Amino acid sequence: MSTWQEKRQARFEKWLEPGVPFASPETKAAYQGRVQRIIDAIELRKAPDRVPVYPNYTYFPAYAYGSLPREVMSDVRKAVEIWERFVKEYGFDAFGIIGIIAPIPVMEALDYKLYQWPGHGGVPEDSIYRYFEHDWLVEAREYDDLALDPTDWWMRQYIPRFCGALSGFTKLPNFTEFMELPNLAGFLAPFGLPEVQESLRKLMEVGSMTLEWMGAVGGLIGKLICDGFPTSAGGFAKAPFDTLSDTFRSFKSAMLDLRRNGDRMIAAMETLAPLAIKMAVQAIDGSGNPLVFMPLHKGADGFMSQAQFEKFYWPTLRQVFDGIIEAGGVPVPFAEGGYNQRMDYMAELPKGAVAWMIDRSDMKELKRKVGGNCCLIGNVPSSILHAGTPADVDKCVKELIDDIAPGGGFMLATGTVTDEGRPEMIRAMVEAGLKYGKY
Amino acid sequence: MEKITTAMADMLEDELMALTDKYLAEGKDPKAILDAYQAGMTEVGKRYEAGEYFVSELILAGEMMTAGSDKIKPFLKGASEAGPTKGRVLIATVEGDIHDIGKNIAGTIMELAGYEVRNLGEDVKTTKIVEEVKNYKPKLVGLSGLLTLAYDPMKAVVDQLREAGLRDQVKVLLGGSQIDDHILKYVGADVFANDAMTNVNYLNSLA
Repeated sequence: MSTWQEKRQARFEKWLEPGVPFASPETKAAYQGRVQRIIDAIELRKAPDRVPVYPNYTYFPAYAYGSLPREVMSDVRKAVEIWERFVKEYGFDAFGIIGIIAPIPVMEALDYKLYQWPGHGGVPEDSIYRYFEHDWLVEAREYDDLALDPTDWWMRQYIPRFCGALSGFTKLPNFTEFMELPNLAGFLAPFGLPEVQESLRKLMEVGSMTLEWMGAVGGLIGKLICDGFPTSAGGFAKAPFDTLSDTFRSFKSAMLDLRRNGDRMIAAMETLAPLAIKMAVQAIDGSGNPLVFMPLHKGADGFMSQAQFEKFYWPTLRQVFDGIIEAGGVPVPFAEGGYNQRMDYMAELPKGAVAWMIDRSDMKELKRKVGGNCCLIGNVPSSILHAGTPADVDKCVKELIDDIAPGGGFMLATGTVTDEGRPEMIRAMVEAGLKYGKY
Repeated sequence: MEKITTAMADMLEDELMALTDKYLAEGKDPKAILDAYQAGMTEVGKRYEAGEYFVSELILAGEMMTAGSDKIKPFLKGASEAGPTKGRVLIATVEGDIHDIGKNIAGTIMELAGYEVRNLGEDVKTTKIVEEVKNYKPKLVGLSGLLTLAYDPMKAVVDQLREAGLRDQVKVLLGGSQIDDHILKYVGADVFANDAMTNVNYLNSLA
């Protein structure tokens, strides 16, 4: 049995040699240079050339070229055209595509209710998508259903609530009953119901639409790799507490559950943790990029006391980190907001195993406490990008690099996810990174 | 009545409700029961300030207060419930942003500290905020926003307050985890807060 370091080395090698027809020897060298730069930062090695410039945006490319999120979420050809131009012109060391994997026509056909999007649900036409918070897990006793059989809870309770077009799924049978003769008729009969058949038809329809959309996005990813640009991450996972408290329950109910239903929550999270690991590992197996993007939410300072964080948030998050690390992947948690009170936990992680994207935390203190173990990515603040000048950005990047880059283990990025913004400011950030980031 | 205060302060929800029912059935003074609830809330505020309690306790305390008040109110027979406050505060999440968690926590903490808080909700139009400042006459208006999209609407509120001749009559506080000195200056507000206690300390300093 190989160690996690050996498994990861194998994944890094595959990431460096993806087996694609590169456009030229130059694009292959550029690709491998970028990937190696990121690997060196993750492994806390002083990079041979410079600090990587890592992306943290969703719809900035659309705004930067005079389009809008609504347009790139509706027209995949336009999205692909804009993204290709952006990736090639802006000079980041990797690229992200989250912004174009949410087709509005698919969400409309599904009557998808977890999110609202520009022009739908009161979101202004020129804005981005937003999450719609609600008690999708209606009563706390459902935590028990989830813990007992997550897939069943998902299919027959959760999905029909957030997808109007799949409301027929409430009538589906229990799949674990489909086996011996006495159960046969009871299992199959519900598939004859008109509402079940209608939902299945809808699902096939959106499946076809999505396949076409993802074909175009997949084509773009392949092309950009051949042209020398790696993806920023190859998998996605969440902290189990965030899955409960962002995705299943409203914030208020989740906070009340901490007091009223703590044991149920913990049992549900223990069920979710291996599923999160499985989702992440399958994705990095498929994509060939071992980095797993993990946006963290309720772990930030201000939502939970230290005691609650230690009891409810950290144990299953740590389990997900360890599962991904053990499989040779690299968790890249995004510590959005401030994590100044959580540094001792971050410092516990195995050396060189995790790369943290940092938003509002104290970077110098992080470098001191966590920098010996984890790569740090960040954190040009949105306030400077919005209210400052290119010279302010240049100064901010220089200070960041002076303070955080020495010794390696640093990537430059915006602190928060960039959507609308001034192109000259983002360009100034990348340019300053290239200028000051040389080792 | 101390048992009521302790049950509230210690988050003993079932016990609190049972005690309330019992005392009301026994004909105890409803005003005294309500006062005991409020004493419990004050203790919750102190424990929050000390870092012992956090958001979940504030929310649960609010739930217990509402459930208790609903039981007690029918027995109060028109007696005045609200005591004098330390001043008025208006809070809103600005136009284009719908994030409410931080704003609502800030509102709860300011109420616990003795201020009267009017919460205009989320995605509130600039003109609406200015109009409410004019009519409600708060000593402080708190503008909340998490998205970078909120910076310009915040600036618009301050600009319009100035144009309406109201800027000198009200302090403007910005709230949100992305707010810092750069945005404070950009918007032209008086102070910013990344946590709920900053608001209260600032308000108390205005007294």
